[in-house]
Amino acid sequence: MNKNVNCVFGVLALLFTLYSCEFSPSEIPLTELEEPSDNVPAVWIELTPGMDTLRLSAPIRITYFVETGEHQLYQIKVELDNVEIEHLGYESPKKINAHIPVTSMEDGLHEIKITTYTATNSGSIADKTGNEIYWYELTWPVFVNKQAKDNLGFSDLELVPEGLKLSWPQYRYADFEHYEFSWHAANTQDGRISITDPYQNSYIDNTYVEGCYVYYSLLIHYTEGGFAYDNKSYFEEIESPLVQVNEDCTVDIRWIHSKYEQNVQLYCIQTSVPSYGRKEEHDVTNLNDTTIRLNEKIGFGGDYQVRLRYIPKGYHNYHSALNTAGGVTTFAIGDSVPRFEEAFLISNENSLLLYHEGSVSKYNILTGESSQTISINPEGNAYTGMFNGSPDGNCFGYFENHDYVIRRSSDLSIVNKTDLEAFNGYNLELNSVAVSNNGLIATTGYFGAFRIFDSMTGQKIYEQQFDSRYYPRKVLFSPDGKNLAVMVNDYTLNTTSLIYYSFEGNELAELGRVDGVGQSVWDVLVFGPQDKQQLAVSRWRSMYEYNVEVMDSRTFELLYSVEIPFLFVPVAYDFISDQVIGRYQSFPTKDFSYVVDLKTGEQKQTVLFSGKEPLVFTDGIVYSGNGRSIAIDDFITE
Amino acid sequence: MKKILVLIMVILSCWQLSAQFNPGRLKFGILGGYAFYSQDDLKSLNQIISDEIPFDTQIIDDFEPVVYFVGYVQYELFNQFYLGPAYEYHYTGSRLGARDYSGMFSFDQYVRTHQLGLKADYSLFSMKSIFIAAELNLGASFTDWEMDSKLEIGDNEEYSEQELEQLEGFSWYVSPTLKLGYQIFSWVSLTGRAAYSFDVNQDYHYQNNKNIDIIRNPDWNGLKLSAGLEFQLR
Repeated sequence: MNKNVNCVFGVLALLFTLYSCEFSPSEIPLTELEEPSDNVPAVWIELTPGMDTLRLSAPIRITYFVETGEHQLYQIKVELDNVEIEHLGYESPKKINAHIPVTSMEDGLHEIKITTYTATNSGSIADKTGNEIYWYELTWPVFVNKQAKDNLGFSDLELVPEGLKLSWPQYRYADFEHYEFSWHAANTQDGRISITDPYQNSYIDNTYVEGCYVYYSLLIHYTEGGFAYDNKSYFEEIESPLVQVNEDCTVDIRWIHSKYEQNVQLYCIQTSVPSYGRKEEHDVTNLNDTTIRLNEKIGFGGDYQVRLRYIPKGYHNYHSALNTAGGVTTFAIGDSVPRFEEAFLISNENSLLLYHEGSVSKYNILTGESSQTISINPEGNAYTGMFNGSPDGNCFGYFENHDYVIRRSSDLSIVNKTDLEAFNGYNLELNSVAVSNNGLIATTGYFGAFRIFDSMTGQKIYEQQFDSRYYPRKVLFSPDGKNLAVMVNDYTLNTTSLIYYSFEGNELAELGRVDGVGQSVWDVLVFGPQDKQQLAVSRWRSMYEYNVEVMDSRTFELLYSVEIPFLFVPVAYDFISDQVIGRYQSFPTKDFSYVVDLKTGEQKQTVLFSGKEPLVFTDGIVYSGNGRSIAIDDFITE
Repeated sequence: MKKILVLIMVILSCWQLSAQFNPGRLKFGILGGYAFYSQDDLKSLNQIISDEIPFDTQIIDDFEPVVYFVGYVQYELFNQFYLGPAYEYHYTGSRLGARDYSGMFSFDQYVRTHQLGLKADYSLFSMKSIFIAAELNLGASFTDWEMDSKLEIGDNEEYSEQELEQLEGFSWYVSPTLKLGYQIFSWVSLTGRAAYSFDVNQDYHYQNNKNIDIIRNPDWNGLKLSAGLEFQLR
């Protein structure tokens, strides 16, 4: 029995042994494969923006494209300063973009690292499971400057032989899109260019020439929108031409070449002339020519100007419409003397008393020296002028603070101040003021009043109201102060009459009259100095026909009468040389004037008197308000 | 499994203690042989794995015929009719793999089953020492199934990955058998058997999750050829 039991348990032991039997897998045979080469195959990448160093001033999205060819692309990893950028945008499996948060970055240097993982294509298990890879590391330096957009604009202009060079700081940052540069030259050309190269930070305006007013603007566009703007305007004055006035009154003009000759189409010479002068315009297309002689001789009595323009290429409008800077030269005939708006002769000093822009001075016509100057603040109107001198010039007067101030010409000291009852509020309501050598003041008012004051006492010593037939205009004292000439509008005759009065014992008595002396208030009667005691009257006969009659200022007796040529008007009288100058005052203008001898009536052609500057004619010399004088005999042409 | 073995031992002990028990009618047998299981589902699973992984693999082992073992005890209830418990142990497996300079991959399947049932034996023919009998085995299969995949990269396994999936299942089996015997001594015979096993009503699941449906199962159908010894306690 025990034997059987042992047998049973032996069998069970065998079963338990079998229980441990199990499938045992075979060895896996080795597959022979060639290991991947250490020479990593090339890949082609495209990185935008395409910058060796990524320069940033604002947040931007970079893109990275890689072409790995036959090698499967496993992964692209982007790190900024060794921190992986987790949220990449995939435009395709091979093209990613990543946002660079510049606003949260410190200014300075940073680094982007882009790692590309590809298959080795060895076919091995590791290759196929992505554990055997080629990887490519791209290190991209990053420079952050968040202040880069500040103060963008033009740098200084630079003149270069080709034209005008404008520069601006390079904006070499990733959000650069393009520069937009535009130019505008007044009356000439506009233009606009787009520059996509951030390194091209200048532009040469090769249309520029001197004198042109140009305006440039610069826009720097950013890829993320927005722009920076600046503008600059510029002009360079044309160097004024040299003018030579010859003895025969011809004029030669010489100028220099433009510094930008290649941009010049032609030279334009234009003159501006005073009244009764003749304008000229010359286009010089041969740029080798830099001289010209004006066709017209110039006249005396006003300033001439010549304007030189460099006409740029491409300009096809009227040359006079081209607004340019500089290139202007003023010239005139005669010797240089002080300028004046009003002047008269101081007989016993051989001086001129001059009023010019609020200043009174004396100019010695023999020595050419100027005396002391005083400043005044005169009040006047179109009829009275600012300044009145006595017939001999030993005193003069003017309104200042509503009083009439009399000064001695000898030392310019004040004699007295008189209220001439001339103002209505702030309005000076006088047609004329006259000062005598002996201290009387006569006025004619807007409403027909005729008054005489004693400048020494300030007393009104005579007053008369002209009746409605007459309207008093101009009044003058005779050199001895005993007579007055009053020019009135005679509404009955419908002309202007000269009534000559004696004034003695504060009584006014008519000595005579001349009707039809003229229609203008100017230059129709002039008193000579005391030693001559003469009164010259420009007597108007008909339109532009004048006689000049010289009277004895004491008796009103006619001494001489001369005829002024037709269309010439007497404008200046010389009681020393007994001459009168007749200026042509019609159109078309002539290029000469007349000087007429008051005694003989002899007429001589002389230089053209142009312009409307005030004139003083004494002892054969004419002084003009434009600061010139000539000896009339030197300019007799016929 | 251990509970079943304990149960068998309890049954045998009961027999031995029984007053009517005649030890001369008791026989024991052990045998071993080759089983040709189809395991079509598991083979297709290898193919799927092979197709899915990115590198070339080869099937190293593919559920080839393997040795199995059987032990049984029978008692002659009637003339020439024996009945008793039987235990069978079967295992097989496969390997899918690849190896090159860069590393190794393997996908191994291990399946083993413990079959516990009843073995009925009826002698059809007997002449001198040779006898022929028909057998019918039926019972339950308790199967363990493991899928072990490994990936090792690098000479020193710089990268290593392993995934082990463990499943278990239950099925019924019926195995008709033709037995040829030769009595060497009065108490021992040499036997040879040819059987075909039918595996039905399979129910498999993960060991730790029974809610996942398993659509491919181990399949224990197949021809079994075996030889063994049979002892009688006379």
